[in-house]
Amino acid sequence: MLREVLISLWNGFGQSLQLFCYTLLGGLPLGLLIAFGSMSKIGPIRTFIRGVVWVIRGTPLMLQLIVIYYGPGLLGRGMNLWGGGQGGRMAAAAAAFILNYACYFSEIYRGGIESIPRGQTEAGRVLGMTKAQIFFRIKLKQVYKRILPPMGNEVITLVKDTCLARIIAIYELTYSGQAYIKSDGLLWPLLLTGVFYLAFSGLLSVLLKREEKRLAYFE
Amino acid sequence: MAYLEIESLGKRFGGADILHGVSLSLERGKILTLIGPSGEGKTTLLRCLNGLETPDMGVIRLNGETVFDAAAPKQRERKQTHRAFGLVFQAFHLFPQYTVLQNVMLAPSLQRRESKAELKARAMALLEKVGLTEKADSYPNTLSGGQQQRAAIARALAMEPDVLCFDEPTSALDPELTREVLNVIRLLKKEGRTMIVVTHEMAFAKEASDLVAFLKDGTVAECGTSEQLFEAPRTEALKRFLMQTE
Ligand SMILES: Nc1ncnc2c1ncn2[C@@H]1O[C@H](COP(=O)(O)OP(=O)(O)OP(=O)(O)O)[C@@H](O)[C@H]1O
Ligand SMILES: [Mg+2]
Repeated sequence: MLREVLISLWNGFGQSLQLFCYTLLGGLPLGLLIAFGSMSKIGPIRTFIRGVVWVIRGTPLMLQLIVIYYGPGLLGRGMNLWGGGQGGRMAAAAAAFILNYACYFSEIYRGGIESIPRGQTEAGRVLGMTKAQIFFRIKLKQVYKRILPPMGNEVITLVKDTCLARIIAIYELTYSGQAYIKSDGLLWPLLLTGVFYLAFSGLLSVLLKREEKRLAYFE
Repeated sequence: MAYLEIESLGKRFGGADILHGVSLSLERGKILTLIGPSGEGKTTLLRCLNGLETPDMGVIRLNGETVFDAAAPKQRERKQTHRAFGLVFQAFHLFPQYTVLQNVMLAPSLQRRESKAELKARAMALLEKVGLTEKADSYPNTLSGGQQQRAAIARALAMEPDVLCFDEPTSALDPELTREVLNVIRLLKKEGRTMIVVTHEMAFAKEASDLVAFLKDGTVAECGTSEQLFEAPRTEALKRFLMQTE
């Protein structure tokens, strides 16, 4: 029985991990783009982007999941944006998670970028560096160091948030543990999922701490 | 025509005339110090020269070439093969994630005009000049203020600016460290660098400058050799200013 449960939870964990990775791979760069948009010199772009961020951060991720998964089909009758089956559901979940997390990330990026002293930019300009060079060669690493702790918190939250994907029937970790309550009247598989979550977020914490240490050499 | 010519430069911030009609000229290899009360636009003038602010009026000419003309302000943006001006800040603004050597090498390395080895040799020579050979591989947060400022000077020199500007380079430093930095500036003077130094160190201004300009009410109230200004000030404002700083 334990073996069977472990295999099932392992598969569920695989789904959770997939969603976790998609969210980071898509959300981290998209968040940076959104951050730039929210700092744009062009007023309408700035207002629009900040409006989107406000809506996404002000509504539940679960609601966004449902809207993104079912919305397209309801709008255009018979339109099937996400494709069928588990693959389509995962695509929809990834889209919702990426959008949601990118908005949170963007605020962290923006805070980080705005916290870099003006003197750094000016020193670069006086040395004849271009805007892009100043961003990538001077500011990026300093921003990275500053945002690492808040980003770390978001990433750990994401580990646990992946369980929301069950609302559109993705067989993620929590779902696969809970299944044993119905089918066999067993609670312990669900509790065992907790061990998975703890181990994973524990591992991430260790990696983050190590990265923070690696960057401790400056400022 | 002088090497550097600043002609009726004007800068306004939200309706307030911070600089107006600033005209100065400086010969090659000479050192000009800018003195004057706080808030009279000394920093603003250096920022205008260095392109951190765009003047509303005036012309800047260097070696017969127009570097900036308020009538055509966009021209500054064209790519320069070398820098007309360099600037050393009051608060250093070193890049904290890079070692001293990397700080010096970063900007020139992006220009790709010399090999890494050539650039490194040049950077090390600059560090030797400012007395930081031993600190080449140290990070800025492990240096004293005086060492940081000397590293910043080496970094500015690496771009080979025609005119090197200093904005109160020692006002964040205590006397001991101030001396280190001023000695470097004296050394650069000996090498024949053209420099503009904003300073509150009157003894230094007196001794080291070829030309002194007293900035008051956003314009050059008095300009001349250090004997002229310090021994025989003509304006009341300068007399008063010198009394206060004594
Ligand atoms: N970006 C800006 N926007 C608005 N006002 C400014 C700006 N920069 C400078 N000023 C104003 O211009 C005036 C001159 O400032 P500046 O820093 O050039 O003086 P300073 O002579 O360098 O003074 P200090 O000796 O204190 O360094 C000040 O009144 C300042 O408030
Ligand atoms: Mg100043």
